[in-house]
Amino acid sequence: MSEPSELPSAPRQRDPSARDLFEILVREHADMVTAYLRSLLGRSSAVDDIFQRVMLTAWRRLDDYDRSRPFGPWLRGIAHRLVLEHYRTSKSAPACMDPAVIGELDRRFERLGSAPGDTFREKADRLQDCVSKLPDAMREAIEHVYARGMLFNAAALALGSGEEALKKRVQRARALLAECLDSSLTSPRSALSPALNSPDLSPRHS
Amino acid sequence: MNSPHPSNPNSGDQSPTNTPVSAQRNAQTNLQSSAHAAPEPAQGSASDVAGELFTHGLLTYLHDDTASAQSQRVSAALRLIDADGRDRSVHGPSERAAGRLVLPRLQPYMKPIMAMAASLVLVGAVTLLVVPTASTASATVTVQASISAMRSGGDRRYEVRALHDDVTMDDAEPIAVVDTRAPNLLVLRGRSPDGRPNIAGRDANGLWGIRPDGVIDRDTPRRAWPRWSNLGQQTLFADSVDALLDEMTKGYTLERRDDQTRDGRTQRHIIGTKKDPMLPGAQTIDIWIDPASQVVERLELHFVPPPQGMRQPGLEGDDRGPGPGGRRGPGGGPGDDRGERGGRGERGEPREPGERGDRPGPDDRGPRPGRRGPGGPDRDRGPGGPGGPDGPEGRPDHDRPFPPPFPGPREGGPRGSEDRGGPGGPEGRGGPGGRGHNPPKTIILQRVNAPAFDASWFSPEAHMQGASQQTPAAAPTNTPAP
Repeated sequence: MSEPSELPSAPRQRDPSARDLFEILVREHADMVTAYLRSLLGRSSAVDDIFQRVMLTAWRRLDDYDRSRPFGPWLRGIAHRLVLEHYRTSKSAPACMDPAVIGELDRRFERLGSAPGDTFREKADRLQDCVSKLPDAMREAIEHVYARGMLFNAAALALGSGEEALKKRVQRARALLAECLDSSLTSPRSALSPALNSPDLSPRHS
Repeated sequence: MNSPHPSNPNSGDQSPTNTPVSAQRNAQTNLQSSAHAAPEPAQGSASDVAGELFTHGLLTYLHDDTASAQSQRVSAALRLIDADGRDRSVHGPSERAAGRLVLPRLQPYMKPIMAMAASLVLVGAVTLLVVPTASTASATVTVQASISAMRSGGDRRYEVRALHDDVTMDDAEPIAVVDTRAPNLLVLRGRSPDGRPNIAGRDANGLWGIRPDGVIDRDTPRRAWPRWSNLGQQTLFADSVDALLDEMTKGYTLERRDDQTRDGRTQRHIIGTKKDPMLPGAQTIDIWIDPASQVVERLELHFVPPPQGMRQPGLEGDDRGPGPGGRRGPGGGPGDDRGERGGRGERGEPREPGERGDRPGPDDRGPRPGRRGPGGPDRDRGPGGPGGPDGPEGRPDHDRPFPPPFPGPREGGPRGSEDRGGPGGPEGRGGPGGRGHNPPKTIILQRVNAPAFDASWFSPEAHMQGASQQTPAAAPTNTPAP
């Protein structure tokens, strides 16, 4: 079952409870919600708590869910509001509030969700293909910062780079990865983003 | 590109996405400070910023949120939903439900509440429903985190005390010491009323117990477990700690209370209330968790004694194993090697040969145990020895039916006090000062400093009479808690 609109409206022979149906939806969208929260919260420990609250809120507001619309965006909307609430209650700076950015982020998640693949993880794994095609310096930076979970200063030390230079490198890498992923979603998985072939992307930062 | 914003149903068309978003800088800066490797303040269009957030989120998810972690996260969410207690069974289609998930109408009492909530919606904003279970969500998340932490390993030690009406925490001597090594190694050392050691555990080969005749019992190991650990259909310590906590999240409604400061440390306080009060086991459970390590520091199980003469269901006979479904009670402390942390001293060290019994027992007292947790309620005193495999008259338990398990009245009546110095048991076998104690109201597990356990510490052979007195590595000195 990939689309909420496919859910039967009439009771079946086995009359599943809404709870069972909701569980199916939760399992189907859990990874996406997590990744979305990571986009806004990174490695913050609040991700766990907010994830739970997203699902609980969705459960409680299930009456309000319009089945003619996809479930994923509805969950992301709840997630975004909870992230905002988190920043308000924690008295830290607000998360990304620009509706344009949120809208664009939502579009990217929606597009990824529509990509070929059985699971969200499988679809997200396309990003790994893009990482493998990054220029060496950028790929190493991404691997140190994400795969190894190193802080910028530690990763910079390990790579023999300045911290600011490393940050810029990671930022640029993320931008390239976004382009690559965007391209790959409309083509076979082995597609290589033209941007990654550019000779201008040879590592030069120290 | 203007398009509806599906994640915000209340919004209309969006502004073009190619406008600069320098307003995001502050947000991104704070993301940077609080979230590792978060995108730097972005220069560029909304699309650029969103693209960077997108890849940042996916990269973090791919590397941090494994399938296993996600499975746990989902399970926790579903438990939360189940605990929410709302039954939303599907009914036939109705006009309102056409094209929607069919759900029953709201309970009548919810309608005015919903109306009130709706009236609080600000223009252009959507308020969330009050989530009274925010504390439940937080409690569940906290316990889940503790489960994960306990599964990650570490040597820990807990002292077990049982409190009666007239015994305060300060007066209660430990009735047992429990050593654990995640994920599922455990040694429980107590002492029966007649002074004989009560030793049982779990190693890589499963549960074991040491019978009074010194034989290792792996066929019916639960006979060796002290009776106070038998909580009706649940058995304390019978399984891995994380599994015990996991069971607790299912059978108890969790609620997070205000953090408490104990011994200079802030600890998270969770209260669990048994969902079905008719089932055996502790009625309520208090847990204190160290937020830094996610390890349980203290666990209190509070019992409501059954009416006089009433036994717990399903507890006849000598089946000491888990009840139907293999339910296991909450309990069993995870622990961590806290050699650097102090309290009032290390306890529970194996006793020297020649002292009372040749086996280690928890009454090898040095200084009082390091208590990093609360002082505990002013309550009951520790009774006499734990119910051991010997039974009340010293005969092996396998020759007679077990007495009523805790917390019911002891079959044959309580024993008189025998050993004021020995560890007590919660079955009213007498304790300091007397006989005929009622079953204790509270069992407390308090984490204390743990030595570095030898690899074989969790095997029964290490505790056999006559075996080399293998002691854990030298216990840390009695250092106060930092």
